[in-house]
Amino acid sequence: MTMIRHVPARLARLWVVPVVLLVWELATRAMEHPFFPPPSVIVVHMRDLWFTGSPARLWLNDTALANFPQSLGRLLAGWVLAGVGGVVIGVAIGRSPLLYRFLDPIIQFGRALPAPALLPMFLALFSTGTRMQIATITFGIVWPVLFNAADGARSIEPLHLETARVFGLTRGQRLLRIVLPSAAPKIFAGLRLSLSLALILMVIAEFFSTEGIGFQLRAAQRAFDLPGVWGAIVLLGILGYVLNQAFLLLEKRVLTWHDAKM
Amino acid sequence: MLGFRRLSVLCIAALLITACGGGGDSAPPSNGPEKTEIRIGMLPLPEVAPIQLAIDKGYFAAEGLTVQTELISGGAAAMPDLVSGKIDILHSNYVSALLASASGTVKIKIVGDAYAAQPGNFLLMTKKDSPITEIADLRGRTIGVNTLNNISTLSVSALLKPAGLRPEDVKFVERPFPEMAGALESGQVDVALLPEPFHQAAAKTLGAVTLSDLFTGPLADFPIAGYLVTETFAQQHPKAVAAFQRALRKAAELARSDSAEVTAALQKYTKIDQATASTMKLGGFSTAVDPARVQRVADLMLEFGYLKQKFDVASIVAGGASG
Amino acid sequence: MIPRLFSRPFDSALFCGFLGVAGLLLLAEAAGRLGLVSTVQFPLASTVLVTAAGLAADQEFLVDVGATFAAWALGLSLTVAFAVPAGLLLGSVPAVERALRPVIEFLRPIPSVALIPLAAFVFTERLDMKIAMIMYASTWPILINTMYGLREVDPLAKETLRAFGFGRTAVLLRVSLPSTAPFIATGVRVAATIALILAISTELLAGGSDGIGAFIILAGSSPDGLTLTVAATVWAGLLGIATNGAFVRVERRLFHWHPGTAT
Repeated sequence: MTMIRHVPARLARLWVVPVVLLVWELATRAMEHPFFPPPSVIVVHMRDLWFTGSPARLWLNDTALANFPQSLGRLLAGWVLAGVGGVVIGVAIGRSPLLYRFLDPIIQFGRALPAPALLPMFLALFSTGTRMQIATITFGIVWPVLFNAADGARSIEPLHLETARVFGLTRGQRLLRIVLPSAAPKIFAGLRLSLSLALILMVIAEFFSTEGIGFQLRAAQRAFDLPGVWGAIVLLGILGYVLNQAFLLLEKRVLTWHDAKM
Repeated sequence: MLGFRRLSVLCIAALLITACGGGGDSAPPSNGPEKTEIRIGMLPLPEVAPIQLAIDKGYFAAEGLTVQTELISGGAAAMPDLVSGKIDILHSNYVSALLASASGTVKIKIVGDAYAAQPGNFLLMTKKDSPITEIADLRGRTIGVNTLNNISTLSVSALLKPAGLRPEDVKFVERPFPEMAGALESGQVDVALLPEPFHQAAAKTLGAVTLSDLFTGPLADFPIAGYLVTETFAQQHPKAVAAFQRALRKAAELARSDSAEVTAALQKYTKIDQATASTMKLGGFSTAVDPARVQRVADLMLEFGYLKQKFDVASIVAGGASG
Repeated sequence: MIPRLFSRPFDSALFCGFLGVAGLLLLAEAAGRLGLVSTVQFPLASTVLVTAAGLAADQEFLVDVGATFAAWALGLSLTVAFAVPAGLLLGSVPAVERALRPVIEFLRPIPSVALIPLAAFVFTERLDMKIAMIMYASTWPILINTMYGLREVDPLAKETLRAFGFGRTAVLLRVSLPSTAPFIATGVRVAATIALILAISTELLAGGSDGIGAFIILAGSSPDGLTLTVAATVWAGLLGIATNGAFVRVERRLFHWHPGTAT
């Protein structure tokens, strides 16, 4: 309800967008450089590439339908896996100093490895295809969740835990009622970072495949199709924006639910 | 103050000398290159051995050039570096060069030829007991190439044609050469396109067998790569370009006549070890750009849809490059 | 839980860490030796370690590591200098945050790998380009952590200070900044790794004469390229461990009072 009432106000907040677009258009028109086509050219090119379908299919054409859903599916699968894995491992090492000592060097090592350099390893382990791409995405984006979860789990007020113990809460209850809720803001900050990283990793993982948005970007680069390259970049930006807005809605729900409970 | 005055005197003297020399072409000072520090962007491939040789043997120095080499990740990827002036001369395969030129994104000139394929330089290879024994068996198969939309996919397409296959009948996948043997072994690719020394290595470690030489028949002596500058650079530095061409030609002649020199040069700018390098055939180092030969690349590109209309290669060959 | 006898060695981070790493390496070696992962597809752990050790004596490689590290340090410093004030501004002035949010959320998910070819055109010096790419990618964790951190500041403390007549800037400097600092530090730590990855990826995709990425391009010339690449990657990982260790140490010094400080 409140959301609907605030729609005009929300739209008014987007005033920067047309300003930026206008400046971009004017600047690129003034430059007249083939590497920097104006946004109007990019948009037309994007429509020709992807949005010539019927309204029933959200205007998506066959090329778009052959690439977008696969890419998005892999992205979300990788993100969910990274979210679950990151929270589990993060909370575990946040609460257990011993485990932390065992895993810390491996984790520090793992997260400093550039994903493009790891592709051969994932290719060897999972062969080409969706599994390898999801593995690459998961591995590349798990770190922000993991670290934020660990930091969050570590920084719990000792008093809260003591109180819970005094009231006889079991280990599992303490985890659900104290540890996770108080680590939640940090975990969500990590999840949000991971979501946009996931888009980046998706592109890298798809460079070596034969379909997906990343593949289309690579093909456009190889063919010196600059409007195509920009089209893919803009598409990724829009996708990222939409994903982030969806995430913020989810976060608001979950965090207010927690606040209300506490 | 004194320093400044001395500097201006020097400047004036320098101006006078260049102005005086400007009249006669034979006067040594005027023949010096307009730019003496030249940066060449190149892939660490055997085909650019003459550049290393020209540095080591002092051919560039004799022409008044100080050459610095920089590694690039590919001809297409480094095109922006050429435009922005991070590098002056770019080593690039002809397909990327012609694609870039035809797309109008960059205006380039070909100033030198690097390499034309010789038998045994590039092979299509399969696993030991692969059911694929001839080109016609490739229908529906996956072919590993190092770069899509490039000389590899183009030449494979041309090779498929006599067997009645279209490029759409096979699937191309991009994989770096060092990973190709692994991809072949695991079946991620059915056929791998491998240059020297990778095909020797694949045969040794994996027992990979040759399906076909890539550049045979109509593709024999196919031009692979050349050296590019921007049109502006060619206009503003004709003497530097000519100096580069003379040194390159001398080095290419040496590379053609003495394979031991090439082997030694490879040690300096690649990670190919001595033993592997000495098994390589090479031999296709080129001394001049033959516009007619490079036109074959453009015509094939037109035939397979890489180019939308006929492209006249002679229009982008710099003066002196073919002589 | 742990028998008394062992409690001492297991208290040592070094000992435990060593065991963890050794265990992982043995696992990887076993996977290769048992044929679970073909050695043609991915080299044995022992082969990689021997090659990596050999690289430590390779003068050229050390120059490459130095070049990558220099770009990383410069890039990260500039990122911190830019992103922390930006995060404070966005976190404390909601109007600015609301106006810029769509632009930020649009830019953030654009992969730097897609931008590198375009940046290669804009920048005439390779170092500038590397630094720009590093800043582009590693600004976000610092920016967002700073904003999240400001949101977590105890409102009571702010109110109290305001009640005593302190101005907006004073509240920001005395309450908000100190209590946001641990969040910022976590962001910087995450950004440090991203910066390292970006430095190497930019070198790898855009070339150059030195850097770990340029070394990987060079390794591509050899049939042993995969082993050399993995060995170089190991060094990148070690560089990551070393820098992270340094950051943790600094954090512990600075924020020993904060319960969330990395231990």
